[in-house]
Amino acid sequence: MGFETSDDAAIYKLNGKLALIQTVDFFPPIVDTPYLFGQIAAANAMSDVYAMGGRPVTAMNLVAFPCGTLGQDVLAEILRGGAEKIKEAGAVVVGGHSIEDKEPKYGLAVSGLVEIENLVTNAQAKVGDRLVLTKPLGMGILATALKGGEVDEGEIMPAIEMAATLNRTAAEVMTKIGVNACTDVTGFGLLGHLKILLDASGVGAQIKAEDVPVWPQAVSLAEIGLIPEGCYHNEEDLQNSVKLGSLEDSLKSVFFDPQTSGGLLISVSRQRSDELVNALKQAGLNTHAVIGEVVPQAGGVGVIEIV
Amino acid sequence: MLLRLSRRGEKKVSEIVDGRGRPCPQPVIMTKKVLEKEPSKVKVLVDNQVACQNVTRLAEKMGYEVEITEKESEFSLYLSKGEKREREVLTSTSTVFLITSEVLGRGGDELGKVLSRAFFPTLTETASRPRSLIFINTGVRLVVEDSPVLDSLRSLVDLGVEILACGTCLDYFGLKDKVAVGTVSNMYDIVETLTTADKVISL
Repeated sequence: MGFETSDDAAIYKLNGKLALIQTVDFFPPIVDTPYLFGQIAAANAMSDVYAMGGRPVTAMNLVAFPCGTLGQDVLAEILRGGAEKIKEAGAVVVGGHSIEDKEPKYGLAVSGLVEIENLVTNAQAKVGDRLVLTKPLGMGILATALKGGEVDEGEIMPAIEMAATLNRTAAEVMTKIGVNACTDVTGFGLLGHLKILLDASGVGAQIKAEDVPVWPQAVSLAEIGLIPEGCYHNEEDLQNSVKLGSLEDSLKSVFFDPQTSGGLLISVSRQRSDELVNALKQAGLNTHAVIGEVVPQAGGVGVIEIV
Repeated sequence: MLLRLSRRGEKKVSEIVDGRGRPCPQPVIMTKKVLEKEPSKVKVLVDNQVACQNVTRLAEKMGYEVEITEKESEFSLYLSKGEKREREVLTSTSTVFLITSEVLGRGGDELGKVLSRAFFPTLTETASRPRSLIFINTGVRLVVEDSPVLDSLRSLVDLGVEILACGTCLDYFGLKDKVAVGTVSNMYDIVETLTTADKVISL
């Protein structure tokens, strides 16, 4: 697919029907419980495979760990979290690599497969499409508040569990229904990843602020300044591409908030959007929502207008 | 941390939060802990733009005005409690007026009555209001039904001023059931109020 469209994963055609997907991701802990960190990191790494409409088949552990300061039991718990999540995805752990590091990090190198007819890139969104987001925003802010001791894990458990949730069901539903484009929402936040999709597709978007699913705690924590650095970087990067309208500051922070293991952002034709929303609901999801629509580009640039 | 800065050119603050070298979100958390004690002026030091923006957002949310100065990639944020809080502080300064007579001053009762009728309305208009007014001896006549200054005293009560009238005095003049503003008080409360005041003005 080339590097121009900055798609979620690498695609390598194996034959007329099947393609190999490859992706990699790892990062330092964002929660306190090692097992949960393992789960979230694994779900996050496999998310890019799902965003392409594929399924993970093998995973290799990437580990950085301070063996002198943190016990082996901590590492064991991280890996157990990862292993169980990989198994849940129907994939197998086939090895990995670890290095000594002051700060622990964990993630996976993942290989997946996708039937070429089911392949979903980020470059085919069409004017008139509806944009669907499958998970609420705000994990970056919540992780910052957790790090600062302003909240504890128990208070944000729904968000933690959501981050540990595979995008598998969402991907299976979207490939069954048929969609135009998809990406997953991670480090660049909703608006950053939407912008990549819009640029790749040569279109713009209008987002309805009140329809975007967010963690309410994230909004109130943003009000008291518990905003990660990444949020400001994302905002700076997009300053010429987003019309904020009358969006209030704390919600703006949530829209730029870097996500970990966020949801799928799907561009689906208007005709199939209701079917997709209902099918996701039938499959057990209840946090997804139509957040806006795809509009023509403005002056050759993919602009996001928030209303 | 309690540091008083008295160097020329420095603003006087009651607390300093040093968030320099602290990882995100420590500067915000440290500042929040301090602001929860509601100091009037705080100085926060941070060494990056993100911390500066986050602390600003927190402070404004908690009712503080923020002034930022930047010097060599270090930010000093001066946080001062907003206007509303300032007014509350003025009302609760512990100044107590002891009104010992229904007439103000000695030498001419007619003049004294005129002065009294001018004094209390004027008191409602000043920015610096007392904590309490204590009425004793013939002063208690000013808190009963036909008092010429009843409206002003009621306005002062609305503005948060406490009005105490000596019970013994009211009894003496047979006015206890005619009290129209304030609380009937006793010697213990009156003495307590006078001795805990920063300033007592006796009229």
